[in-house]
Amino acid sequence: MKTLPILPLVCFFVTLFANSPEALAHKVLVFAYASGGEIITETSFASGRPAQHSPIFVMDGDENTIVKGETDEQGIFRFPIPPQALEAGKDLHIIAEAGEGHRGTWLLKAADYGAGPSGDKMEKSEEKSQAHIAPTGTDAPIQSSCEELERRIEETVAAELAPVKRMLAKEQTHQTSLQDILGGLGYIFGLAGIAFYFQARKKYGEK
Amino acid sequence: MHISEGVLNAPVLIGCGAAAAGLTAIGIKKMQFDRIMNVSLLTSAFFIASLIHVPLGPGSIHLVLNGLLGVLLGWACFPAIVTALLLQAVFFQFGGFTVLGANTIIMALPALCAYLVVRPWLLQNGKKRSLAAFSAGFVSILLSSLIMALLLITSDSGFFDTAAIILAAHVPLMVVEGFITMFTVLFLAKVQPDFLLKTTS
Repeated sequence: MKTLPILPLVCFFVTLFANSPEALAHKVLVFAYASGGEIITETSFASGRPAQHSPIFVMDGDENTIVKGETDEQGIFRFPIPPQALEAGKDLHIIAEAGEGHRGTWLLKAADYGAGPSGDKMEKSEEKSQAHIAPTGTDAPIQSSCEELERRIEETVAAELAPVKRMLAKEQTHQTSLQDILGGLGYIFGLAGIAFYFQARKKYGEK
Repeated sequence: MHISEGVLNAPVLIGCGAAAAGLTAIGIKKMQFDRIMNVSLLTSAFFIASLIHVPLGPGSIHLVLNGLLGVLLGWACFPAIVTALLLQAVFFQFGGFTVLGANTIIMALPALCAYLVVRPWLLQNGKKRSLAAFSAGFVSILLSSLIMALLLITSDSGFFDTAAIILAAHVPLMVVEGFITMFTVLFLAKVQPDFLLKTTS
């Protein structure tokens, strides 16, 4: 066995077992954002692969589980904004459990999904515009087309904003970078250096 | 293989923490400090190994390398693995701080066991060394999965079928790590026998 091609051999044996069951990851990443009256959660592993069919628990600030569900094939689980949390202005803790002891959490703040005293701004502006238009016979078609227009605007804005919100939320999850690796290595060799120092002192310090 | 924060319950965490602390203290005592560079190199390898994803079917494999560390470091594998796990928790958010003890027991205890069992054969040239190294890598992952499954069962986040799933899922990793450990040991025996033959603890 002179110079064995180690890497190709390892890869060969790895591909032999191509039917391995679900992911063996080290970290579960989950983030969430609100769009169009729903909260959308995305769960993936550190390698970037989506976490499929993973249980999701949504808890309010008082540790009550208010929503339970499962991620789909893309690792996405969406649910309508819970009305009681919306009114009370509570932060939502979103917990993803990808099995085998892997768990990720995300805190969705009340302000981020439009809960609390500032309320659902869309609804309030609708009420205002309705108050201004006194419904009479001839005005009825104009009023309904105004509402229709507002609804369409809301939908378009939500559709446009959803990917932006998603990008923002994803940015906040910590992706492992080169700096992290170099940082860790630095500490390891730093500790070795300190150990060397103390050992040298012990050996030569008293001379 | 890292268990995340908030999965295991307090008694398990405290028990594992105490056990890990004790065994790490023994490891530090037994470690020969003029071999500290070897320990650092292997700690770095372990630290980085978990970042290596090998896609496998629907999921992926992440290397652990605890068998290799056990075989080459002996008792010093405990401080090495604790350090690497701590840094992985800080920098990569793998595992966590309260679960540090539990993760250490999961990964370092099998490594130590492999070392204690297999050490005599490693010193002998030829097939015995290959077999010893392969089994060290294989059995380390086997024991690690068993311990992980046991810990998960104690905290009610799994039942016996979960244990079976965990074991089955790790079989490819057992084989891969067996080969990696074997090739690394053979390579070192040829190129730098000191690394392998002189004890670090």
